Amino acid sequence: MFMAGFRSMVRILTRNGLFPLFLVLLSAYFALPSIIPGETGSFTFEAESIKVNRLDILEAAVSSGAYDTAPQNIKDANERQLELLRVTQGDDVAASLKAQAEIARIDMGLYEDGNLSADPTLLEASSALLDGLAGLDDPVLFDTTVQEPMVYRLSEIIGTIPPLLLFVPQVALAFAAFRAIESDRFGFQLPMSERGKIAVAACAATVVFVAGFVLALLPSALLSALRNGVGDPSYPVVMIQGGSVLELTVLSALLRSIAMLLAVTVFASSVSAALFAVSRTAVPGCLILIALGFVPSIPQYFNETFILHDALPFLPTTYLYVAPVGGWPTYLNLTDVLPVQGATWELGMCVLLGVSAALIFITGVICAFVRRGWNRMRRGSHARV
Amino acid sequence: MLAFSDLTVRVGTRELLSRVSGEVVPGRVRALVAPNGSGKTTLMRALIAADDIRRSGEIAADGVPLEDAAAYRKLVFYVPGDASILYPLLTVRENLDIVKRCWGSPVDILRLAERCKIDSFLGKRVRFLSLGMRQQVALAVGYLTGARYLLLDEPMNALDPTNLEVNSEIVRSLCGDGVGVLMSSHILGNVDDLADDVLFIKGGKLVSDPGTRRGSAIVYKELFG
Repeated sequence: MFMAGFRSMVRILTRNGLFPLFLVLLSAYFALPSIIPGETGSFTFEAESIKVNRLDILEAAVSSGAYDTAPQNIKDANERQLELLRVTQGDDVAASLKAQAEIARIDMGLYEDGNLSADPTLLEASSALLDGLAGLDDPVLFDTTVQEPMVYRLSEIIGTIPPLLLFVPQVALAFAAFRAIESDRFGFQLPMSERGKIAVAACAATVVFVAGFVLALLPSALLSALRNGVGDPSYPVVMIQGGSVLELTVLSALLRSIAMLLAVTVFASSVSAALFAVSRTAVPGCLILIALGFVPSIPQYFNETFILHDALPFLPTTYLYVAPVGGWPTYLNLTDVLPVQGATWELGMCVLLGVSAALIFITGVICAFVRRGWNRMRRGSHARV
Repeated sequence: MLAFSDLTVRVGTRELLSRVSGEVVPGRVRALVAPNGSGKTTLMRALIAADDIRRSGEIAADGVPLEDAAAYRKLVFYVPGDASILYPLLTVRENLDIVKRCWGSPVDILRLAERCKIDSFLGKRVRFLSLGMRQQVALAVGYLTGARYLLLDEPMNALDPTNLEVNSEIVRSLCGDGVGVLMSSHILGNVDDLADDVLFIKGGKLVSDPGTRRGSAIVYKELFG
């Protein structure tokens, strides 16, 4: 019976006009950067940028005698960095990246000796990314989005999609699923338990969203694969998260993001299920989810003065936006993408799935015990039980 | 039988039926007649535990209590008079496919569609059908469930004379197969033609016409003026 109901609900959801609209919008959004070149931020590591931002400045400083009275270790460091900076002006990308990696390590050394004022986390992130790039079998920078191979492109898509563009379809599908079992439709009269009906709606909304999302990714995946190949799954991804440097590969970032997306979808469905069990309409779940979806975008949410700041790692709202948790490839890893101490992908998965499990349990309790009494009046009286 | 006892039904703060009892017997059509707003639809929706209806009392079909939703809903099916139970974005065929799949009905959809005179628009989305056509489909859905007790809420209202006769014949046939029908209606001629007995709702109570069969119109006039 569950499978019959599930298949029927999938049919109802996919015939809803929202579904093809969601597919088309997302597909177009994902595929456009594979057709129209977009900036990747790789200029940060390219010759011209390095010349202007470091080489010219250091050369001018050294030749003007600014370091004549500096300690010997600083003079040695400057000399070595000048050599390496000149290497970056060549055409050899691999050599340039290796040189930049060593420059970053020298900067770290100077910082640790107290001779350089810098953000140590930024230094560490920069150094880690350059080391990762330099260590590839075929070190390469992607100047535009059109050059990106498939795995890189897919990981970047999930990382850069506006969070609400993902969250709104999840909410809309959950709404449509629970609307389909409200008391004015024959779905309400399905010959199954209340728990079964709610489970059908929640599972169908989850599966349809995930399947739709994968379908929407296909055009972009094909375009980038045909043009640039699958890509190196070990391409480095380095981010600053929770005050620490997170080092991943592009494949692990993609898998983490997909897992997180699934967890968020399960969470959205379980919130809808619990609220439907209480209210018997789809509207409250939809409204609550929309409200929750906006929470992480409140500027004060990640602020240290926020009243729930210490609890943030344990709140599901902290993980509703997939990219900062899962990670995505970028050359511009200059900010903390998830400025919550202790918030990690692992904890986020536990929180989302744990809260979902609790909500599912509560839904079951409501269906089994509470609802039997809610619409029943005490016999012989007109009071509501 | 589908039996309700000591049933009190409220919508919001308004009590529509007070401690009423009755039953729907397999193989018989029981009609429910009353002025608008008396509680016909409310009674039927109470019998399927619709969420906007508050009730007290006992309801069971063939001994299966209403609270045992999975088993009860295999036995009892409600068809409203406005065909709102259908999914408007699906085709007629898709609506029927879902019912057949979920209720495990052995009935052949095409044969049923021919019998209900809906075969010519099986491929059309419900939202593009007229009210009468949608009502034909809603009734077909009810027949397809194979429920032992059908609650038909003003089923013939939107139907033309031909389809009224078609569906009356189908209801008679289902009763011959042991299906019990509770049917509300304002079309008193059809009530007299189809129903084995008639219940009226007056002042929150059920009043039966005790078999003298003077005609529903006469009894209606006596009760409600």
